[in-house]
Amino acid sequence: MKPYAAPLTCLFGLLFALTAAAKPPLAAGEWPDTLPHALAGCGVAVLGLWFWRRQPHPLWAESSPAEEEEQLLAAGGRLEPCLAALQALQTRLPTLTVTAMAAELEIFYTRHLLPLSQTHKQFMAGVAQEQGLERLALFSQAELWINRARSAAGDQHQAESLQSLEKATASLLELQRLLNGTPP
Amino acid sequence: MEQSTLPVAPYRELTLPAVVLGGTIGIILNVALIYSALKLGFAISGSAIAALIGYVALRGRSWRGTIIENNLNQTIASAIITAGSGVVFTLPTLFLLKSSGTVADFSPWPLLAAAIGGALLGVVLIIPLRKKMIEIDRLRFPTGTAVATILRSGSAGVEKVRLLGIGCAIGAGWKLLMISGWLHWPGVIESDELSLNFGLLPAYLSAALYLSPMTFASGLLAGRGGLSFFLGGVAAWWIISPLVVWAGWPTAGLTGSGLADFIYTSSLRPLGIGLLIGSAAMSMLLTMPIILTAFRALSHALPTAAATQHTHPQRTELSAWVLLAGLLGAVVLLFLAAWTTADLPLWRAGLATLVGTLWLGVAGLIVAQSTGMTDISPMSGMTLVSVVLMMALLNGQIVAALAVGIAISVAIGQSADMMQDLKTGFLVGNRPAQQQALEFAVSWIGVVVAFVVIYALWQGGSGGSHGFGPNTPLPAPQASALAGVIEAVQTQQIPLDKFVLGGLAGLLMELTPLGGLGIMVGLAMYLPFSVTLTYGLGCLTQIQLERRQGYAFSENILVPWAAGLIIGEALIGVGEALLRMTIG
Repeated sequence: MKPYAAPLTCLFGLLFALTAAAKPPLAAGEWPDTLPHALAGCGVAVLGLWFWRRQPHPLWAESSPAEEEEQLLAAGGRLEPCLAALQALQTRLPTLTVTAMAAELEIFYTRHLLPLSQTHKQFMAGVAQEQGLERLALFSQAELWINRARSAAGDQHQAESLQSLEKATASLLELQRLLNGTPP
Repeated sequence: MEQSTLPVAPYRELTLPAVVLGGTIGIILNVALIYSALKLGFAISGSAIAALIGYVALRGRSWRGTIIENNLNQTIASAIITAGSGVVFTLPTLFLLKSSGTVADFSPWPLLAAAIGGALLGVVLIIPLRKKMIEIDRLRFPTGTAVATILRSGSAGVEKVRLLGIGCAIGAGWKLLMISGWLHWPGVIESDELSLNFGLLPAYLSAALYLSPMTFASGLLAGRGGLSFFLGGVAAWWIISPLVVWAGWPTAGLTGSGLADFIYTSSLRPLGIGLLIGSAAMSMLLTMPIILTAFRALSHALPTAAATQHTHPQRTELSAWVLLAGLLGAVVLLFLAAWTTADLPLWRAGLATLVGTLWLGVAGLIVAQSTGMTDISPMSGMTLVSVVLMMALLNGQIVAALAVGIAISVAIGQSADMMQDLKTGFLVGNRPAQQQALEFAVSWIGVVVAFVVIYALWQGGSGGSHGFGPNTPLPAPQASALAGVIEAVQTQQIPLDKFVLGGLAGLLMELTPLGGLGIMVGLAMYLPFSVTLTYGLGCLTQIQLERRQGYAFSENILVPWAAGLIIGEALIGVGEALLRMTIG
């Protein structure tokens, strides 16, 4: 069976059901006489949905188990350069003016954090939900502290910016530890 | 290399100037927006203007204020304004029903208690939703993103400020043009819509663009994520609508815009409401474990991270005990409001409170997700369903149903608008616990202000009443519509068939591997197609530009420009409201 047959059956069933349901009833408070058609459309949709969800790689789905495995490997690979760049930045920042520091942070954000942020769900791939959400929570936490560091640098407050970067690094190191599966 | 000096002062966050300024802006804009909602029928978000005033007043030339301080100022203002907008669509309905003799006299106190309960419930609701929508789903929340761009504009670089300014000028200029009526062109540009019929296409295809830079910009910010909304609108208006006409289902004799209106009001809109409810209920079921796990995961993970690196652990979320206390307090207020406004047995008031609270969760999810994806909140539809549900549960007692309805309206309005502020907070690096605590502390102020203003406006009419409503300078369109619905419920004219069948389809859509499909398609059917088309145009533009120029272009160029468009239109909208309030 073609991979698009199941999703199209499901979506066609739903469209048919909604079209049938659109008929105004003869009197207020009654059902339209197309009710059996609407229910039949829902039945077709259920059938399509059942096959769609059983596909090894559900078409148009956000991710599949095999893709998740690849994503998990990619996640670890992408985090490392980001973390290395952050740590390098941390050592360099105290020697810079606050204005230069703000500019460096913006570059770091665009080059390293943004690509990770765009694919953040990869941190949840291939592991149990609780573990995945723990990882995602750590990444979000790191992102929040980096955003705060950018804001504080923009406010010419170097101390707050550096402190926020420390917290961001702590969160990313913990995330890396979880991704590598090393003990605390 | 030049060394910088470390400021001795701690980083400014929650300061007295921020609280006073946020409170003042919130109260003033709340009054203006209540007036505007009674006059025009819609409320406008005040976040952007609060952020701009804060930018000037807090940061100013001395540059002492900080981005986080301004974010807190804007959070306070927004919490007050939003609570008021929940009241203005519901409370005036009771006055209108009283003047038509549908309800007897009523006391404001239980209603006020219900609304304050709703304000608390709204904050309780957004806390678990924040994790899902901002951290996990990463919804755009266009206004929230736009406000973050304003807050950071001083530090984001000259290029971004320039783009923000250009966008703002275009958005404001366009809105002024629309208000002036200079672009009015009968048959082509009417009611802020550009007709795409060209005299060839039938009106039931509803081919028109909503001429709103804000809507286009919301699509630009959403990109690929907004496509299901656009395709849902296409399916509704370019597939279902022609099939309905082809099958000959509409009332005989209807043609042109009358036919399109019939299809919209009697078929697509109620089906959209049903879809929204069904898909939100399923989404709630599917995501509840994620929300609960996210809480557990965060509470486990952060102390470990902090301990490993010897950093200072700071609470980023409000304690679960605060949430529980807020929830219990709000539920008690809601129960007392329902019980004391009508002669009801205890069990019935208790049942209404329980169902109302559960429904609130579903409705809150709907409006928060819709706002997160599109910046558009289906609040009036959700309020309508709330009141219908409560009338069924409370044995047709209108005042009691509206008391709970006010609470739900306030709460779901907050879940949409406050989520925007939390998104802004995330983007500028504010701790959510700080924002949430402030929202808990101040949102009741907006409710009280709204009650005082609405009572004052009503009593400002001739003979001490009828200060708003049909045939007055303040027609209160939303409240009049809700009053009409309540009268229709009394005569059993609610399209329950559409709600149920739409709900069934929504349940199934949410089960598909395409995340959030049901809510987006439901919203597309609920809204006029012109809005969906303009939004879709924004999505398609973003997709094309990102494909050609990369995501960095999208983040660095499109985001500030789109933020400017949103802010420009919002500023002129608020200005218009203030002007109308001044000149009457």
